[in-house]
Amino acid sequence: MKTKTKTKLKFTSVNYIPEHVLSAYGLQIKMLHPLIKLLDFRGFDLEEVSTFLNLRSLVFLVCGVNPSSFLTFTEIEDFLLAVQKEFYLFHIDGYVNQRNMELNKIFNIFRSLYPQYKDIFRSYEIKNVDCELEHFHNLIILVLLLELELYQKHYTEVKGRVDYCDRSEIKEKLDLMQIKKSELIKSLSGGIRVSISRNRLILQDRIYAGFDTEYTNIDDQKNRILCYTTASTSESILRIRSNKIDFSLREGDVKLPKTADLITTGVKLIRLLRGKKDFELGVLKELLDRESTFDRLTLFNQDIIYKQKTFDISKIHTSFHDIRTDPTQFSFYGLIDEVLQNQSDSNPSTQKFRDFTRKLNLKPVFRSECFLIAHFTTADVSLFSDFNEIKDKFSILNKSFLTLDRNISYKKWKVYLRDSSLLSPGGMSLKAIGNLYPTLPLSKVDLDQNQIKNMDLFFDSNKPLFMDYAIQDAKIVLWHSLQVLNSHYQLSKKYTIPVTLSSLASSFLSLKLIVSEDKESCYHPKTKNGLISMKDLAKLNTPIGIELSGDLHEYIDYFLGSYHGGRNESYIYGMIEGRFHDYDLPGAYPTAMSMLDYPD
Amino acid sequence: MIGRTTGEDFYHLYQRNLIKSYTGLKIKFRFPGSVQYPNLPVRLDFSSVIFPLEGETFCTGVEFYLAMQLKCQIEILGGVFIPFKERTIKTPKISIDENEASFSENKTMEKEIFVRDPFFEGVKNEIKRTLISEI
Repeated sequence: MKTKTKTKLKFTSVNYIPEHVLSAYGLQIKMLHPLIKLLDFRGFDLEEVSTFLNLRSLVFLVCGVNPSSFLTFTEIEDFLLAVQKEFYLFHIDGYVNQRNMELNKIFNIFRSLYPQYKDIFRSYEIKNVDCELEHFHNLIILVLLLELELYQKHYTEVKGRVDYCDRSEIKEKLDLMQIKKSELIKSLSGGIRVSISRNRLILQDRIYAGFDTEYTNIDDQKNRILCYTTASTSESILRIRSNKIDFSLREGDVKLPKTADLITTGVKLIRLLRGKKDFELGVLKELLDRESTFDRLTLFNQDIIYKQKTFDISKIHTSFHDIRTDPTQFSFYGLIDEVLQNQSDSNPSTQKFRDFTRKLNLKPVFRSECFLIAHFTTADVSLFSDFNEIKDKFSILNKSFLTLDRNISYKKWKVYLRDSSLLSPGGMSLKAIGNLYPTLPLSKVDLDQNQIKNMDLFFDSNKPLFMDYAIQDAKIVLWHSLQVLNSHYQLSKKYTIPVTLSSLASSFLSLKLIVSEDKESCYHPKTKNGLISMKDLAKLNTPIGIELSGDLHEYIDYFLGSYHGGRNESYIYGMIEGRFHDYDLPGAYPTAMSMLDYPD
Repeated sequence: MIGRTTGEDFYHLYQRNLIKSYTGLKIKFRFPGSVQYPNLPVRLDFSSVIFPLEGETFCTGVEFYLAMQLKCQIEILGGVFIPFKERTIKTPKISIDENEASFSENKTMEKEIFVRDPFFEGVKNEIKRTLISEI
């Protein structure tokens, strides 16, 4: 059921708009610009479009320009200047005051559209309405951008039909228009700016590769690498990004402005003029939905991805490399090259996706991602021959090397490093992980203690078994990561391998809480004014944080000071003979905290 | 916010409510010599915390409550007392999947475990642990 409430241009407070403008209001649909009439409105909600175009006409009339007249280059410039002058009129006195704001004709349009904000400039509670004013500003900028896009499109077509002399003149003017457009786009809020130019179709090639090393101990400090193994698979993903606009002006904003619908329509119109083919994307979705070979996944941000049904364990490519003679062969970039080479055959899904997009004349953006996964990466990564050069690119979490916020770029690939020990409940051993899948051929090859201690001798004596043992480890790591990938989608609606199982749990929780309670996030508790999060202590302990956090800065010291950690005490000192007991309360803090309630 | 006051006055004002509250206090204290294991921690340096008979420290309401039970003389230098919200507010009910044991209103975890996919069960248990610590 569609619950969206539509904004209607209704003037309830007639005092704010000059009479001649109001009298013209009824004619606006007829006063549409001839260029707008040529647009292809397939896939648009016509009621929303007419509301937006009414607003456009109103802005024209307020600035004394006929909305249906065809403007020359100079007139366009004059019109832009007129709107901006009118809009930023309050700057003239050098300071903002209530009278100037109330006289502002463009902001009067806003006050007339939304009578609840009639006295907006008399209010001292500006932080409650600054979002509305900011987005109304965005809306007007979108109206101007639409105008520039229309004329730019028109004159680009004209340019192809005229003489050479005129062509260079038009080109010069078009360049000027482009500069104006860039200036206008810069003044838009981030989320809207992104949604205007964003390419919504992405074709992703993904490679998942588990790797493992086997080594023998030379002494207490040194190891000698014997071999490395890889197990890899790939998939192709077609991602259709949602056309949802991010209206948040600062972190944690979830409230939609009143002008959200109008802004969405404006963005859609501009995208149409920019040739973004949003309608065709809808058709593509329908076509792909009919295709039974693909799975459709809807992500938490409403993006839709299409991918092959499931991973096939029999199609995992494995490789074994004996590097006893030259251990330098095991390098980070060498490993990536090896994996890329193993997966160099194009995925059949990629070709199918390309056929579909070609049919609709769509041009996707290509992305390539490679996930490298090992178990306890500290051991394997430190054995890379180029470890000293690349170690700065990794982060360390729970004693494991991995990539956190930033990936590593290599050729056209974005490389992510993950540790399967962080992706298993309670940091399981590889053997225990293998046993999680009893129906699959993933149980770890059993070795005796002697073989484990003397890997080099084991390698020499029974190479086939050694190879099985080494390859199986890489396979277990890979398969387990793919299961985590699927779980990440099922629980958190994200289709990527998370860094840790806790981060998966955390995003699951945040998704559940944000979606459940009136679309408002109660996951990160805010202070009463909603500006400073209790979690962000660095921001709180600043001059701005202290002033904006309400009373929080007064409270927080007492609670921080009271945190002393767990008590650890030995009741008897010295040598103890006989049996002694060590009592530990695992999870004591979380258990006690689970009994707490919300603060009043 | 709590101003400078005696431990006795503060204790009589809130009593067992101290347990059902978020309370942070800065106090001066002195335990009777007969107390073998004083419960108020005092930070000595960056790595050491001791539990002396006498000193100045920050503590929570529950620690204060226990210290008062041990006949400790306390002077409150400042602090905050925030009681728990009335039980009318329901804790969001979160279910990992339809068959999954969900968190009940009093936030105690149900013991029932559905053994289907061992990995998935492991993930769910990890989520439960995170949920408890996050809530």
